Amino acid sequence: MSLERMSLQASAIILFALLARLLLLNRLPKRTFVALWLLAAARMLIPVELPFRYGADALLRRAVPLPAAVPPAGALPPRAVSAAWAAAVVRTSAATPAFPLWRAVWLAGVIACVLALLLPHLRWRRIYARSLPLEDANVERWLRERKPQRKVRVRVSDEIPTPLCYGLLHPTILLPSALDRSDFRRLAYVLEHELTHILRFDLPAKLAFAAALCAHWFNPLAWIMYLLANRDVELACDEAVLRRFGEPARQEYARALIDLAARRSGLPNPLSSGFGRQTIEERIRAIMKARHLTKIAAIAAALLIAFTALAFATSAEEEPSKTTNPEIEALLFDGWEDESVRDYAARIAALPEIEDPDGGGLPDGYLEYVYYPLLYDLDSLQITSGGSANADSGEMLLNYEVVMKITDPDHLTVGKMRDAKRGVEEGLMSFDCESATQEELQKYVMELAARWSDGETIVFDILAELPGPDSPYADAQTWTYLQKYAPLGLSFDYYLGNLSMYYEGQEIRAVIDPESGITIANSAGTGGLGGDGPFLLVEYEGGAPAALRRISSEEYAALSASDEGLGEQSPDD
Amino acid sequence: MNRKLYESELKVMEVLWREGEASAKQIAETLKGEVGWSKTTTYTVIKKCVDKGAIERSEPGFVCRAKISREEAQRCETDELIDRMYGGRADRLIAALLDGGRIGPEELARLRALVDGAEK
Repeated sequence: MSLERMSLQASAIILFALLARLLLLNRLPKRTFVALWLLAAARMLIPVELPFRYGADALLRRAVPLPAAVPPAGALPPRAVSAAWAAAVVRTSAATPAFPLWRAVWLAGVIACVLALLLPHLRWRRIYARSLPLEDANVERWLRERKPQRKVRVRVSDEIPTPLCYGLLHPTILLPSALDRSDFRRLAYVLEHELTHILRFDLPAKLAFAAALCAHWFNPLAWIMYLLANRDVELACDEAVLRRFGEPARQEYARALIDLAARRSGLPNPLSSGFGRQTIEERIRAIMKARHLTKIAAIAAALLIAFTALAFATSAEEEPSKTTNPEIEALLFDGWEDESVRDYAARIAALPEIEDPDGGGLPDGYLEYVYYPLLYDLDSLQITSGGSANADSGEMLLNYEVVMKITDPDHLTVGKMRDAKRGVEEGLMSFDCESATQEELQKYVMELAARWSDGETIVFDILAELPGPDSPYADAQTWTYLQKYAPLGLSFDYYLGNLSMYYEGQEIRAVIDPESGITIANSAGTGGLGGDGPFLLVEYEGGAPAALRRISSEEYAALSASDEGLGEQSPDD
Repeated sequence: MNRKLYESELKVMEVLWREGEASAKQIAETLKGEVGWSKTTTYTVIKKCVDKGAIERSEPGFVCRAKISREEAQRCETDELIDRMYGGRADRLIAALLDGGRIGPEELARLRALVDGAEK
């Protein structure tokens, strides 16, 4: 799963969490929002696809069909793809692809972010390391009464302004030496707050937020997530402490918070949690607003989290194919956008031969439609691809053939070629075949071709039709007859003027109708058996076509000879 | 001595005041048991003390020796406290101590004698 895709999915979660936070911050347990942020961070960090039919990704994809290089099952294979492309290509040395620029920029950003977070953290770690053990009657009393579920140490340091906790494995609460420990209740607030961080594993959570930010520094929503997540961790912690001490404690607790804030100074450690950190004002306001949380709120929170996880963290079931061969992966268009098509083609030529019949794990059709064509004479290269848009029933709604001519491979960039190719494909797929007319389609494809051709480096010719007798590429009379034979078991595929006919699973060469005096022949050479398939004779009963019968070439020859009037009607004429 | 010593640094100083001279290794071993520091932590704290002029290190074996006495350190701490909390006026500190009831009658008598001695 690519980083961009992870970032995109995480962005959806973040936007949703923002909305939820805006509307429900004081209505749901604050921990809910921490959970949502964790979900976003997990989506940013764990490169695993979670297929789910009804997730946003799957629904979106169903609404906007992806341009399929290979039509979905039930449709016919794309035509007019030059068979020569499949020719084996001999390649010699392995390519050593340059490190793509965008990856270098990304990595530099990651390193900068990691350093910016890690360096202050390490400085603080040294301060924590030289903290001193604490022997204090009140602290011991609190430990005795509270009986924390994890083993917790309490130490002091005179180098920290406010209490904090540290240590992933051996959690430690660190109190400033100057903190007045004589008031047991007040001390208990402070210790309880830190203990809550420890018991809720807020430190690893903060680490996850930081890691997600570092990896996705280019995504502005990641920064928002980072800021709000750290804030919500504190809010949730305050809330838990208040729940433990009861609502009457909130004024006292708020006052303790303000006292500590006054002491705050210096740069806080971005990777630690502490009693006195974060925006005090927001926390105080939240504390004073705190209300009893109902069971309904808890259920709503659980539902909200589950909904977000299912809706936004999942992907459509049909996965975009994954690349397995790193050398080939390095040559996918993405990352080579600024290179000229000629240089890019040279890289492909330098690849070792791809023996894997699946195309080395490339996306479907990539090898055939993208790689091989580029190995031919670039200066006169025309790449033809075709396909159909199908209705769910398998009925063809739109047939097309796209001819892409590269007119200047030295100035056409890979990025431009890719975008134009995609633009044309997506343009075709987004055409509303179900309600448009043939004329509208013709106008649409002309405009589409013009939009993506620049006349200098790349030119598109697009043929398209809505299959039917009114297609400019079909012969209306032929259509009428074909429709008449269909109930007798003839199936046909009339694609941009190319006709193929099938009977009982076999491709046939021609249908002869002696009564009407016409012969419909397939488009020789396009079908697999175009040259020597059987003929079909239409047999009449009571003046209407009643059956189809296979006849041999000899019979056909005899028929043609006996009936001078038998005209040959080919749809290509 | 140019700067106030942190508690961690005073901890190292205490070992030296108690034992006179000690190698960094010995200090680290002592403090590992007493306050749970790692060797590197102790070494960095020793280095900070050296930087602040509180410890002197000599070859061979990096033997550490306190350059300031406990009394000097205490005076420094007290000065700092007076400056920070009592506006640089020692009498206010004394007044605060008397108010707080932390000084018993015997100590008070001793204080009086000290003050008398200082006046003569």
